[in-house]
Amino acid sequence: MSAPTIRFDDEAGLRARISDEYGEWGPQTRITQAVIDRFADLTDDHQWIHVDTERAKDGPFGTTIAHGFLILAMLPRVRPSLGFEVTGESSRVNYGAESYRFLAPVPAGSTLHARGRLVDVRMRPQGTLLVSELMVGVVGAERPSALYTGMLLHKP
Amino acid sequence: MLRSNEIASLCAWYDVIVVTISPALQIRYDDLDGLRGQISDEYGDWGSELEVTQELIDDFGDLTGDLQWIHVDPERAKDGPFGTTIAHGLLTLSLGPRVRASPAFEVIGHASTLNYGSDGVRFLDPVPAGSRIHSHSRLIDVQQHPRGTRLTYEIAMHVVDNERPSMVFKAVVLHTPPAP
Repeated sequence: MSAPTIRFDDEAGLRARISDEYGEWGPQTRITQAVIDRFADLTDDHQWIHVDTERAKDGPFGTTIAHGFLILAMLPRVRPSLGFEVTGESSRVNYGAESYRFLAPVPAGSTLHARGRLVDVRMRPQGTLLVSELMVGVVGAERPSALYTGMLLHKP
Repeated sequence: MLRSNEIASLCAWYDVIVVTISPALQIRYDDLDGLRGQISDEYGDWGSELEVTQELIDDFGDLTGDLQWIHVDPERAKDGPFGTTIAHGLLTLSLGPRVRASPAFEVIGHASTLNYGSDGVRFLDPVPAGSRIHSHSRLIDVQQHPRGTRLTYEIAMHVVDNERPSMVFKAVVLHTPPAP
């Protein structure tokens, strides 16, 4: 079953989708040590808590953990559906984030997923700004790893 | 509220924002007035520069699964809105620690520094492939927090010689007290 479509300039239709409830969990991705190591190389952050599996055994988590920014960088892989598709725009631009919080570590080898909800719709001269809150977590963990309130600009 | 064993388990992760290079001025993490005295409207010195190569962008695209042509297809991007490929917003954000500027003061006396999150990120101008980026920052807020002292820095990242920032980012860090 495909999600209902709403035009990017249909303010009322989009507003009707603002919700206190999260949608379904989206696709999963595995944060292997190899992924963490690659991110460490990219960002030149080789702190032992991320890359030294031997030393991390005696660290606070008993294992290496993903960098905070790696959790955010993986958003394209885990981005969940909000229950509808936006149509009619020429392009989508990552406008930024209203806020995000890191709430719990992501141990190497764990699997991430996310669910989300639409929290605001803002009509702007440049297009429609959709604000959504994404909860990113380790599959099976009760406490989420990150909460990300992001903004996507849908341009006419 | 978190219990003390949970606080301990949170310590030491993502110790990425605050540098360990020793500036002249040292301020204790629990000296709120001293820290507030460092709040400023003016940015500090620029940090080091980094070239955002197409290779770096490709590698980030590969890792994160974001392979949109605006990032990874230089041929197609020639006719795109910027005449070139540009870095992903989340790549720009991820490179923040790598080009971070040294603060004018050092926080001392705390047990650990947690990357708490952010109170806002705006991507304002693209980072074209091959450009060099750098950043500067200023302290904008100091708050007492149940788990320590909460500092907020505003970091502006620019393409070198571009007056308009590519990204403005409010980084929130938490300095936790030593175990009693």
